[in-house]
Parts: sequence; structure tokens; C-alpha cells
Amino acid sequence: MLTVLERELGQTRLVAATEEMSLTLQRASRSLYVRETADFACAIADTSGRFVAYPQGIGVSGFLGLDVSHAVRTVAEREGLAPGDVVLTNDPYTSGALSTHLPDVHAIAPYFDGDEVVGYGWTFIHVSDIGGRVPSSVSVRNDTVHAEGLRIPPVKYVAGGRVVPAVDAFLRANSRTPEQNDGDLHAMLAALDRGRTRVADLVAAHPGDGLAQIGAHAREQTAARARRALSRLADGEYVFDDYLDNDAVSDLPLRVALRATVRGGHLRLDFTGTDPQVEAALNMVTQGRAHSWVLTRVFALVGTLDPDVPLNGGLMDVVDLHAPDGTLLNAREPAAVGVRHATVSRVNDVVSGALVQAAPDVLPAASSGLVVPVVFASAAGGTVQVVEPMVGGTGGRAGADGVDGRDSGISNLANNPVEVVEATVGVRVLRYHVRPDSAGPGRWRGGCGLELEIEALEHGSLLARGLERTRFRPWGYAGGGAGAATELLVNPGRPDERRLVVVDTVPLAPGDRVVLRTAGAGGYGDPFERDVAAVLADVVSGLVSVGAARRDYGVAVVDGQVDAAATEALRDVPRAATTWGRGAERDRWDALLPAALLDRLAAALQTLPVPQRAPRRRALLHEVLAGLPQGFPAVDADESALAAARAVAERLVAGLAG
Amino acid sequence: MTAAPRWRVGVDVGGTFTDLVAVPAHRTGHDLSRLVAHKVASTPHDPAAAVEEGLRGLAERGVAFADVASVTHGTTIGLNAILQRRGARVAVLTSRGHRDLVQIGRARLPRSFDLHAAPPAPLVPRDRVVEVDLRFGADGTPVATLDEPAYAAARDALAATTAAAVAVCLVGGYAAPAAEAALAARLTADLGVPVTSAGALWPESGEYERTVLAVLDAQVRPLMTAYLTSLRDRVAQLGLTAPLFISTSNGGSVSLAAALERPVTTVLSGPAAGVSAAGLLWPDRDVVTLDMGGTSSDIGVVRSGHPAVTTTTSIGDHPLTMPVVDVEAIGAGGGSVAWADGSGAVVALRVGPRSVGAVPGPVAYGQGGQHPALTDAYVHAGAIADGAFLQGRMRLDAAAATAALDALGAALADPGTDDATGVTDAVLRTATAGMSTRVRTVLARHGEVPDAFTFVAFGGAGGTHTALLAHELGVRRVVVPAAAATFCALGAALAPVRRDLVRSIHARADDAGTREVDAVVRALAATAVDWLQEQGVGTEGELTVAVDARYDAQPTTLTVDVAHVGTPDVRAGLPPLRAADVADLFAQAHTRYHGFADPSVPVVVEAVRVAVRGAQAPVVRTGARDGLRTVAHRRLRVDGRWHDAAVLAPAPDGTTDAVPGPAVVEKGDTSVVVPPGWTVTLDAAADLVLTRTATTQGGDRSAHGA
Repeated sequence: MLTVLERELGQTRLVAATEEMSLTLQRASRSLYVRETADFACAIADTSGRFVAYPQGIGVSGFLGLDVSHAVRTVAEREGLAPGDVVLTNDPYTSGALSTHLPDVHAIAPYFDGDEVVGYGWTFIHVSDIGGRVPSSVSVRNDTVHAEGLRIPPVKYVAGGRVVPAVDAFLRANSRTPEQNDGDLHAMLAALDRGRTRVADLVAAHPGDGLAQIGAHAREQTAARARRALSRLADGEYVFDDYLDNDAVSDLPLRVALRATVRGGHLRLDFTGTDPQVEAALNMVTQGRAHSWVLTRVFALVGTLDPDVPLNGGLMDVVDLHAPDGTLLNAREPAAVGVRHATVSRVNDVVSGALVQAAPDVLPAASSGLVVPVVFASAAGGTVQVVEPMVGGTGGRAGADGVDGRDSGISNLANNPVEVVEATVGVRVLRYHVRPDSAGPGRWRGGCGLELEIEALEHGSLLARGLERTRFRPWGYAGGGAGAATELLVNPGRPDERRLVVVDTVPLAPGDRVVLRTAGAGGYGDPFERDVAAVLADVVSGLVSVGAARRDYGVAVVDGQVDAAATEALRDVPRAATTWGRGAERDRWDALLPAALLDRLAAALQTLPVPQRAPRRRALLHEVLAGLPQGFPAVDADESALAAARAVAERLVAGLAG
Repeated sequence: MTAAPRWRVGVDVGGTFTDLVAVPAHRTGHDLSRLVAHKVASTPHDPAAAVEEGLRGLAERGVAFADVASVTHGTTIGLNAILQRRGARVAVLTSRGHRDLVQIGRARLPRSFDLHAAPPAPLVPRDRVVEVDLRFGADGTPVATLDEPAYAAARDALAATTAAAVAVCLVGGYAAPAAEAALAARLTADLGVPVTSAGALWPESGEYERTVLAVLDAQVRPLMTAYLTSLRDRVAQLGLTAPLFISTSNGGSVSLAAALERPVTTVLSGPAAGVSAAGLLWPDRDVVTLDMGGTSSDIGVVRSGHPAVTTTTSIGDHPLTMPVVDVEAIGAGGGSVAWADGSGAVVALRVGPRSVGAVPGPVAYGQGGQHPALTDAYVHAGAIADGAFLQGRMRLDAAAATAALDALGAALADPGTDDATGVTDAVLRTATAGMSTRVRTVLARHGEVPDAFTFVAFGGAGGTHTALLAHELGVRRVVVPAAAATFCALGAALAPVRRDLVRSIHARADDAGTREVDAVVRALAATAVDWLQEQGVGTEGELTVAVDARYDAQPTTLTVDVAHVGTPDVRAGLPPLRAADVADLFAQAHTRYHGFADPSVPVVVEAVRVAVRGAQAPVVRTGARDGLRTVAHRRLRVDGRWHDAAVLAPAPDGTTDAVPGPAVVEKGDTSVVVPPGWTVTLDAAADLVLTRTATTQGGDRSAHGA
């Protein structure tokens, strides 16, 4: 048995080895995704297939809980594994949900001591293109996984140190960017080689089951720390639900529902009630188990409470997950999965909404919860370039305002310098600033969204995928209000002004202008209890208008000064206490379709064959909404129409459950 | 000509001590074996007082003021003002629609897994940012022009902020530095406060990064102006009339006038001076410098005399995109606390990141410290010893250190770490493992592995720990320089004047595009040569021309050197840059860095960089006569065993042969541990050179001991 010290030092070395692997990969890679968005990762697993060591802050953090065992077992049972072999896969359905969408190509190297496997090196890269219907392979409008590109079930890409020519030929023939992909594959192999050397050093020092002991120790230490951190949550059962704006094939929102059970630092997340899988690329393959990618908010919570917790598979030991078969969070083959991060970003909000009830002093209100890469495709040049990846802010929380214009909840992307954009893309960036009056009001206000205005200087088209929170706004908590909704306008103030909710591509001529205002984040606490000086500071800096200060905060500002008497009068008016600030649109929706009814609907849909569920749900909701004004729930409906529609809903759900 | 030496004086103002070094120049060069070093206590309320006292001390040691050729001064006044947010109240003037460029920054949050993550507080609050209807296109043409009423409105709005300094940063200003500078000059005159033009200061594309530079410059300008002019007067009153130079973050120095013009170029000069000293002393070696202080250890990388430079460093969480010597923290310092971490399933030992600080300091200092630090492990191990430590100026209470380590052992779970000796082994191994893995990662980022490097150690604990670190990393050679205790001051004394210039462009590296690049190179080279002349150090010097280039559609650039020329050649006329050469040099660099080149893809040049450096002072590194003599023996714990180790000290009758470890060398302010399997010599430059003789590999295996 190794001493604690030896196990700790071994862990330190393995983590450093994963960092070295990452740097090796970064230097050797040619692709945009690696260099610009750091969409890659490296790690070392022990024989259990779970990660012992994961780098801190290089590449994607959210995959720390993956398990390579199913992928390697598939190959090992079929053809055996030998030193110098590398297994490749990108297919969620045959890799045991190791990969979450096809552009993420995963490579696994078994590391040997003699003829015995002692551990695995793992790495993935989001490659530029893996084939399929559209360039770069990802489109929300892909209806099955078969449209999304080449599926690579776990296969040997390298056998005994040599690339298998047949596999290589398949890969090259099925990508629009075979050279870039080849560079990425070689970068992954270089990283796995570096890991092999470091693991060999460690095994030489601690032969036998040294790596296994170190792995068990690392995971147990992390799990214990995570449990300790999560014991800050009050035991109990907490429910919450939230929506994606639409399912890409209709304008109906998609529901993600959660019942979280907290017991002594352990979490059980039950997503029963979540909508069925859809015929668009919004599905997530979990195979019904706890999956790293849907738990990133839990990891973030642990990281908040224990900033130094070592990242490894031990974090998975504190969570159980249940997601019913055939739903958004446990999609069955052949559901499309390309844009699963949009769904996961709403999962994050739902997890926050459930757990803020268990730890109201720790979790913030909803962040803006969107990433919209605003892309300009030049008609003449054929170039497609990102202008800015637009995010909103983070939610207010007990004791602190949210952050304006930054949100790392989905991915912690850097923006682009305006000057670089203008030198390379055929647009001028007229405005790029924090969006005033967008923050959800609160004693601790939410973070503001951003506002971007661009003018096309040449013919081209605008792409803005990931447009979310145009329908239901980021929620506030403990009396805090919702942030402003996302808005996308073309040529505002001109006769041809248009307001867009679903964007495929928007053709632009020179002189056309586009304005994107991202949602503000939710506020926390009663805004009438906000420090008057803080409200004044926001007014002086221009983030809150005089009118909003009066309406939302009960603070009268005149000529840059607080009118104390008027403020006292404003704040003296009795107001109803609220917990959630979801915005009027969401309140209307819930009045029509309460959670209990939707839970029954979800249960009834589960009795149908998977392919029938989503169409059936759409038909049912369209029938319910038919009797309500166009635009509901953004526009109000009178009580009698609402009651009638509710009766229709009750009848249809009962019939379906029948 | 007189026979008296001409001295180059270097001054390094630290938090605790102000170090001074004077190096005499003879016909053959600057003689390091005869340098004069002097240390005085710093005077943080009035840093110039310590400088003054130190200069008087040098005079008492034979450095006649009349024979001083230059005084080069490194100061952290600007840095401290920025870090402690004590800089001047600054307002920003920018283009309409971009008021939040400082607030938004690059939009990233410092940590992903942190629901409470917050960006650094903005350098300038939103209500002190004034917008104006003026901006420039990528080619420098104004997109909107400023009429008189708009100018007056902007001026009045800036005045209303009551700022003590202003930074002007217009979108596109990098492409029109002269126009922006003219606006800044007009505002200076009208507002009566200093105004920095970001475009003139650093004409590189990237409005946020450039604004940060300009704001930092504006923040430190009033303070630096006051300090440096007062220093100049006080030094002159001493009768020291030699020109004053100021150390810069790029490892060089500039005239006082140039420092006043661009104060932001000096803010990270402290750590840079030590790294560049290593480059000047060992121009033919690949060196990793290790500066181990009380709270942390920093490393720098020097290849063939050239310190690695970065344009992606940060200062108090704000990006600093001017070239600065790349210095990275790798973890523990002598004051790092050793503690029992019970947050996991079993209790584990940790070293750092918390430090005991100078007060109360480690337990062994007997100043009330209760928590054992890395230094206490050195004391228990016999690596440093009472009487010899800091030449006896600081007494050490070994028994107290041992008691504290014993107590820590009781809290740990391992059977091997239940007493002070076991804990000492564990603390040294943990600190060494933490530092060595960081060194590996830092070098991996440079595309290097440690084996081929020489370690140069300085700073308080550098000599004590460096051989342990080198051993673990498989490094074969360690040097503890003669001037280890005043190494940064030495670097300042020897640093040539240097200035970096940049200009963003956007040109294909074809024939037409290269002509465009060439025109920019010539303009920058002319500016550089003129500037060198203004520094008052003669016109001899060296120019390095580089371009930031990338393959078309590649997101990031590589900086590629395209020419090295002497300054006389610049005046004679630079040879024209050729497209084929640019493409070739880029392909070579790309292959070196990324492992491949692709001649089918066009190369795009995004920026031209010109660095000008004054003539380098030749260095003489012979003439020291001392050898090492055994002056005592003491118990030394290294490699998990107790040894009866020789205590060596420099002496005129000592040996210049290699002495095998285990041993400790007491030399000046440092105690240097020589582990078993290593030898030590004192060479002709009075440097201690440690050489690995054992054939065992570094890493985990050898770290176990018997």
C-alpha cells in the first residue's frame, strides 16, 4: 500500500501529465476549434475507465466525469488490445455516451505495464467537419444523427503504433476538411504519447497496482470534498422547470423539468416530466445515467464552495441521475444531438432553480443563459466569420450583483476585438456595449446583457444560432425580477424593420443594420430593498434609466441626485411578496399549463412509441393555443379564453392518458 | 582618459531591501569579479531616500561618483500603484458605441467552475468614459470627423470627471496614431492634465488591450513623473552627474526622459532584470532562472542569451500586451505554509499557497510564527543553520522549528510522517514535486523539456532548494551566481537601452504586400534609430525586425524574426524585405512551433515589430581566485537520509576542484545544498557551479532515497 504522501505526489504528477498532454495537443493541432475556442481536453483514467487526473483550466472542463470503459471494452472484447493501440470513437450511441455529438472525436490509448493494462490516456477534439448535411456538421435542423455526419463506433485507429489504413481511408472520405482533421488526429496521438511516457515513469516508481491506488485515492478525496461542499445544501426535495424557446421545427417551447433530492451532501436529479426527444439536434444521449455534460452546474457549485477541489471522476460519486427513456435528456437512437449544448444550458438553469431553494445564500438567480455566435457570411468572398460570440450576464445572488456582459455558464469564450473584426469581416461594428435597463431588478440585480449593432458593408447574410430567451426571460429569485428578453432587429427604425425570433439566415445588403440585444440575468431579493446609493450609481453610470429606477426600485432620481422624500413615499407602498420573478409571459404560460398538468402530459406521452411523442405533443399544444390570441403568451389573454384553453388542455391530456 | 574604472551602477528597489551593484569597466569589459554590492533597508514612504543612502554607501566602498558612467534604476512604484489601485484618477475618451470596452474586456471570467466568479474591477468606471463621434477605419481614414462643437462637448465632459489624467483610445486609432496623438495634445493643452494617446503609445490592433495600456500609462504618469524628477534632483545634489536610466519590463533600460514619456514600459521591470542578467552572463547557454523568495518562486527562460518574451502577460488581472520578459510563478517560496488538509477522505500534507509572510515569518525566526513553513523544514534538515543564515543577521530557533513540524506530523495520517524528520522529508518532496511539475508545464508551453537547461538560482531560498528541484527534473547543471543576492541590481547595471515598436498592418506576403510591410519596417527603423540617439549612449546598437504572421484563415499569429542589423546599417539603408524570404522564414518558424508548414496557403502579415537595443556591455568573467574550503561539518537531511555533510565556504586557500556532495556551501546570504550525486566548484567568476554526477534519472525514482 502506498503512503498518503506517495499517492498525493502521484496525483500531482498525473495532473501535470494531463496538462503536458493538453499543451502538446494545442501546439500540434491545426484546427480553429482547438486554437480559438479550446474545444478539446485530455485526461488519464485508471483501469476503471474513469478519470484520475484532469487538467485545471486547459480545454473543456465539463467532461471530467466521462467513462471510457464501454468504448475500450467494445474493442477489447472484439479484437483484443495491445501496447501501441489507440481506440477512436465519436458516436454517442455506441460509445456508452462517451461522445456527446459527432464532431467530438475521442481517442483512447490503453497504457500497459508489460502485457497488463494499467490505465488509459484519453483525449478529444471538436474537429472542423465530420461530414453530414451541412458544413461543420452541426445544425439544429438536422432531424436524425445520420444527417450529422460519419458515426465512428469504437474502432482501432492505431494498432501496435501504426495507423490502420482502412480506418484512415474512411475518415478522410467522410469530411469536408480531411487535412485539418488529420492534423487534429495526429495532435491527439502526440498527446497520448506524452501521457504514455509520464504514466510509464509513474508505473516504474510504483509498479503493480500503483496507478490504481493513486486513482482510487484521488477520486475518494475529491468525492469527500464534493460531499462536504454539497452538505451546504439543505436536505429536501426541490422541483423546478424551465424552457427552451422552441424545438426548431415549430415555435413551441421545450420543457426541462427536474425534481432534485438532497440528502447529506448527495444529489439525486430526476428529470421526469422533461419533454420527449425532438426531430432536431437538441437531444442529449445519457443512456439514463449521470452524465458529465449535464452536471456542469453541479460541478460549478462544488467549485464555488471548494475552489481547490481536484477535478476527476470522483465528482460523479455525489450525484445520481434519472432521465426517462426517449426524452430530451435520454434520447434514443437515431435522435440528432449536434446542438445538445443549448439543451444543457437550460438544464443548468433548471439545476440552479432547484438548488437555489436548498442553498439560497449560495446559488445565483438565472444567468442570461445564451451564447449566440453572430456570424457574417460574405456573398462575394465565400468567407464565414464570427463577428462576436454574444452572451448576457450572470444572475444576482445573496450579497452580490450579477456580472454585466459576461457569462461562463455554457462556455467561457473570449470575444473578438472590434478592430480585428472590421479588418477582416465585411461589417462595421457601430455599437458593442452593455445593454442598459436589461438587468433583472433585485436587491442584488442581475447582470446586464449586451447590445451589438452592425452595419453590412457588402452583400452577405447573418447567422445567429443559439438565439434563446426571446420567449421566457431569465428568472429572478427571492423577490428579484426577470431580466429583459433577447431581441434581434433588422434595420430598426426603418420602414423595413423586422423583429426575428427564429433565425436561419438573414440576407443583408450594404447599409443594412442588425441589432442584437441579449437577455439580462435574473435579480435576487426585493429591488425595493436595494441600497439607494447602488441604484443611484447605476443611474449615474447609465445602466438603469431614471424611469426604471422609479418603477423597479422605487427610487426617485432627479438631476443626478436621489430625492429622499419621494423615494420614501415610493417605497412605502405595500407590495405582494413573491419568490420567483419569471416575467409575465411565463406566468401566463404557467396559468394555462401548470406543472402538474405538464407532468401528466409527459407521463402520457411516455406510453407512446418514441417517434410519435414529439409530434403528438405539438399537435396537442397547437390545439390548446388555437383558442388564444396570436402571440400568446407574449400577449395577454382574457380570463374566459384562458379558462377555455385550460379546459381543452385538461381534456386532451386526460384523453391521451386514457 | 584616466586609469580609474568607469562604473555602471544598478539599483533595484524591493519591498524590504534596496540593492545596489557597481560594476567596473576596464579595457576588456565589465569585470564581475570586482563588482561592489551594497544593500540598504528600503524606505517605502520615500523610496528615493534609500537609493540616496545606498549610493553614498557605494561611494564609501570606493565607487567615486565622478567615475560613474551610468546609474540604472529599477522601480516598482508604478507596479505597486497599479496593484494597490493608488494610481491617478483616469478618464477615457473613446468612440461612440464603445463606452464599455474596458468593462467588457475580452468577456471571459477568471474561472469556469465558479458561480461567484467576477471579473476584475474595471480600471475606469463607466461614468468616467466619454464617447465622441470619431473613429478610424482599418486603413486609418476617419470614418466620422470631429467638428468643433463635438470637440468642445467631449472636452467639457472629460473636465467634468475631474480626472487627473486622460487616456484617449478611439476605435481604429492604431491605424491613425498621428491624428489621435494630435487630439491628445490638444486635450492636454485645454485640460491641463496629462493625456495619453493609446494609438501613439502602442499602435497595435485590439482596442481593449490598447486602452488598458493607455489607462495604466495615465494612472502611473503623475506618480512616476514626481518620483523620477525628484530622484534626478537628489542624485544630482549628491554630486553624481552621470545619466540616469530606468529599467524596463522588456529586460532593457531607457533614459529618464524616455521613461517619463512612456512610464507604462517600466512597470514590470523588477523580475525582468534578473532574467536578462542571466542572458547577459551566459549568452551561449539555455538557462532557466529560478528566483525563490518568501512567498513564491518565479522562473524565466533564456535561450542563447535571449530571454523569452511574452505579449500575453497581465498585471493585476489586466492584459499587458507590450513585450515583457516572460516570468512565471511556479509555486512555493520559503514562507509557504506546510499544513494538514483534512477536507478529503484522509488527511493530506500541503505546502502553500498561503505564506507566513515576512511577519511573523517561519517558526524558526522566533518572531511569533506558529505555522511551520518550508523554511522550517530547511532548518530541521540542516540546509540552513543558525549562525550562518544571512551571515548571522537572523538567528534561527531550530528547536522551535522541530517542535512545530512534530506537531504537524501528529495531524497527518501517514506512519512515515509522524515526527519532524518524516514531516521534513514530506514537505521537501511535496514542494519539489509541485515546483517541478510546474516547471515542466511552463517549459512544455515553450516547446522545451528541462534536461538541456542550466538552472540559475537567486533570491533568498533559490540556492537552498534549486539542486533538489534540478535533481527531480533531470537537470545536470546549476549555477548560483556570485551576485545571487543582488542579481536584479546587476541586471539593471548591465542592461542596454532597449525599445520595442509595433505597427499593425494587414498585408499578404506577396510582392505588393511585402512592399507595404517594407515601408512600415523602414519607418519604424528610422524612429528606432532616432530614439537610440536620444538616449545618450552612442549610436551603436542592434535592430531586430519581426513580423506577426499567420496562414490565411488561421486564427492566431506567430512572431517571426526577419532581420537582425546593426544601427549603422539602418542609416546606410536597410536591404529591402523580399516576399520569398518572409514566406520562408514563416514556414520555418511554423514548422518549428507547430510541426508543419503549408506552402499552398498564403501568408498574411498582421504586424511589424522592431526592437532596438543599445550596444551591450562586454562582460569579463575571470579573475576570481577563491576556492572552497571545509569550515565545519553538520547533519544534513537530504534524499530521505541524514548525512554528515561538509560545510564549505569560499576562501583564498580553498580548492577550485569539484567537491562531492552531500555538502552545504555558505556563501554570502545564501546556503546552497549540494545533494549526494552532485559536485560543486567555485569558478573563476566566483559563481558556484553544481554538476550532477550520478547517472540516475530524475523524477519519482530517485526522489525516494534509500
